[in-house]
Amino acid sequence: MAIEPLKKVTIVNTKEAHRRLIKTINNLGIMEVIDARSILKDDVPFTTPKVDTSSADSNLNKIDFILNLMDTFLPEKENFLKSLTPLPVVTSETELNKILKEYNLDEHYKYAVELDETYRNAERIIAEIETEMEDLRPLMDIDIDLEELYSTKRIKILIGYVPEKKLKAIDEKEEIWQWIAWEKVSPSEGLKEKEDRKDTVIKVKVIFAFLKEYEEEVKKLLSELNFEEITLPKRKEKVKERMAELEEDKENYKNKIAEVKEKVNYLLEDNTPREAKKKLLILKAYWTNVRNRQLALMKGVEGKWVYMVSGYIRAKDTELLKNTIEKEFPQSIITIEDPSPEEDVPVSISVPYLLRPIQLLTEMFGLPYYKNFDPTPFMQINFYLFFGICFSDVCYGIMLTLMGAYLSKKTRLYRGVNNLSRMLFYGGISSIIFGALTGSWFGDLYKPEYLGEGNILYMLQQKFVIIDPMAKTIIALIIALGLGVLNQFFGITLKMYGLYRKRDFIGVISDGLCWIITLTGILIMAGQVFTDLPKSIFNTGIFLFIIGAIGLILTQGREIKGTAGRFAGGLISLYGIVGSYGITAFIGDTLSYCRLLALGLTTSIVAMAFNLMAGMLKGIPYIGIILFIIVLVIGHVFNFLISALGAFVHSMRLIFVEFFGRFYEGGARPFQPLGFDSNLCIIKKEKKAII
Amino acid sequence: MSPEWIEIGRGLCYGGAGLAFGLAGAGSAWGISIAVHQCAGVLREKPELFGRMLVMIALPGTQGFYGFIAAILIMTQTGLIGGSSIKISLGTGLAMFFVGLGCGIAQLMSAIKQGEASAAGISLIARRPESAGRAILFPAFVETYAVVGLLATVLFIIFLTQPVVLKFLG
Repeated sequence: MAIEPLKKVTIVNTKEAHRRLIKTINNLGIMEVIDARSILKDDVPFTTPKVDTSSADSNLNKIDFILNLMDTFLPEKENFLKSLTPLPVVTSETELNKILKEYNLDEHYKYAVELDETYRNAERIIAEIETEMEDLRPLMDIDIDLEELYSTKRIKILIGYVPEKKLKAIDEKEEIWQWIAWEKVSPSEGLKEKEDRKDTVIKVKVIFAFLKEYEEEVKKLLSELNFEEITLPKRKEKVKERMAELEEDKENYKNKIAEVKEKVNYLLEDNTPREAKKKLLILKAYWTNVRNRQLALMKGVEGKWVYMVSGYIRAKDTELLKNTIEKEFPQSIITIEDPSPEEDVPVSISVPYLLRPIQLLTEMFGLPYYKNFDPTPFMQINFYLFFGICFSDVCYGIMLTLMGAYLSKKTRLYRGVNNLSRMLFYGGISSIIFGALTGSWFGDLYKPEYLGEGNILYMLQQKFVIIDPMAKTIIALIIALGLGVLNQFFGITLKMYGLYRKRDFIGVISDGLCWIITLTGILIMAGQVFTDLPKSIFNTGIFLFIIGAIGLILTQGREIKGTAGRFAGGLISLYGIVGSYGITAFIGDTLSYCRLLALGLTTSIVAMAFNLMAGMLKGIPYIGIILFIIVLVIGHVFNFLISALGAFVHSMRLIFVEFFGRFYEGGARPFQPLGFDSNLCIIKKEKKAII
Repeated sequence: MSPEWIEIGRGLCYGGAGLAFGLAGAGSAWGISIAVHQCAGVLREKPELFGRMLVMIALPGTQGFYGFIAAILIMTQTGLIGGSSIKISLGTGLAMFFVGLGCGIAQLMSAIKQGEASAAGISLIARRPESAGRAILFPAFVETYAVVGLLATVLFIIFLTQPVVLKFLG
């Protein structure tokens, strides 16, 4: 129930067998391989073995390519719940061997590349066709061959839009208009375009023809008319004909894409897309493992005759490793020693099955450092307590417990998800308890106006309830803050434990004990505000505060040089900007626990609101009862989800910020043994065999 | 009860209730949309992160509920729904109005800012999916003030409508 002790292993073996050695380690899956160079002195003439990872890399690329193609054409209809938590594929050794033997990756890849090329080509051409069609569309109403509109040697032809108003205002008698021939192409209706929001400008398409020698003057004139030229495509035939042609081409290429879609199905080889994808994922896991093995091989070093690999192993696995290596490589030398204090040792924590769900939180925050202690056992009761109070409702608790039980049964193979489900299960039980104590059963659904007089929920509610936070809010608030004080004190105690483990006895007294004395004193003095304390108790409070404060002022600044600075440092840390804790920080942390009450109230008030709404509908004749049930179900499921999320996040926050802030420092490197299992794929053990 | 019954004090109470849920709801909607914008970008590249993202999006949604709770509590405590109606003076009404307004503002701003914090967390998850646990903490820090605001509101509403207090206020 703590951080597992690790041993450092160094194996020296003959050079020829280095691949086989790494393979054996990989199959055992219990040793993390580290860079062996780091443990050697610089002048040792060992070199890094040359390993070619290109085949594994290219295979992985190929697999990803096929998977991508399949995702494009055969998107899986994803189950909503599954998409919430991507689970690894589970396979067995027989299945893996079968796939390795039967699946022809290169052939599949070649086929996939061909399909992909055809597909991309078709897509590109369709895009081109569409741009051209877009260009042609404004010219659809020109019913002559485009060739006729080309400018000739002496004549320039322009086609484009002109605002109708300007066109009407043309004075044909002006001299320049004698040189220009023009005609409206679409006389009936023009292009309507909004200008400046209020005025719609109608533009008409006009063709102008004139001699090239007048080009400059005419162009100037046209720009005064706000003429917008349309560039003609370099085609000879009529626009309509070209459009039809393009339409046909587009259809053809679309058919090609459909064909590719059809052909992708061959990749499946009579499997469903899911099965085919699973095969590829297993293959991917296999090749990733091969690649990891090669990378591990490069972490070792070789001399002229020997190969050396180094790493960490759990202390309990040492025998297994030693026996296996000695049996398979009789000439090898294996040394197992304790890691030295300055080493960056990876961390693996192990907790008993019952306490394991909370390990998720420790992993989320960051693992403890190897020399420190594992906080997991110390955050069990408080986390479930907080969750239960935040979520407090008996019926929601039952729902959550059932959900957790079902999920944990379904997900036994997947460690992470399984832990989460069991966390929900325990959290549900805690919610049932606190829901019963605060008298919340689907909010206030037990009331006679919803379920009738003398219903069973009402009887149960009356039997268990001890405090209704809605009626006695202040008392409930004080309880919540009291829990906060206890949890903070627990945190300080753990800090003392941590310092004690490091043999820092001054720290235990000054950063731990002094704070506990001071804060107890303050709490007693604060009690005076609420009730009349006997004089003697109050005086004890003052006395404790003064003793503790003096201790803190004297010791908190012990890192600072100079007496005056030390004293000032102590005084400031009493307030709480620097140093191990502070009175203001303590008040802030404690008040933060008022969220326990607020979230507990949220759950039951929202539930009450839904009950109220449903209750109003109940009076409607005939369909009233059905509406009553529908509103209840929808409302409560909704409230269940949102409150569970809130309860989880906020209990987690209380643990991470207020509680961990007191004593814990995370962020160690997790222990990752070299082996096959990964997030992608895990092997179900059948019997011991070698991959 | 018919509308003619509503005296000024009572009217102010419901004005406050309206502000509480209106501002809070608007804030939540705003905050969620900020988070969703960020999330949509991430999901385009990494659809497998959907589950973790969903939590981040849902976080700024709680403020809307807090405002709703304040409004419902005002309604029940003043006897608008279920229960006996009590007399509410102008003073109490004014107090209630500003309690509702204060609650609304706290929820509105915290929801928007929580949305931004969620968005920041989402971009962290996008780069380092394993740090999802830490990313959830960012918005939770902001939400603290929404929770505290709600708690103060609830206390105010309960104490303002208890008969003893009413007598005291006149």
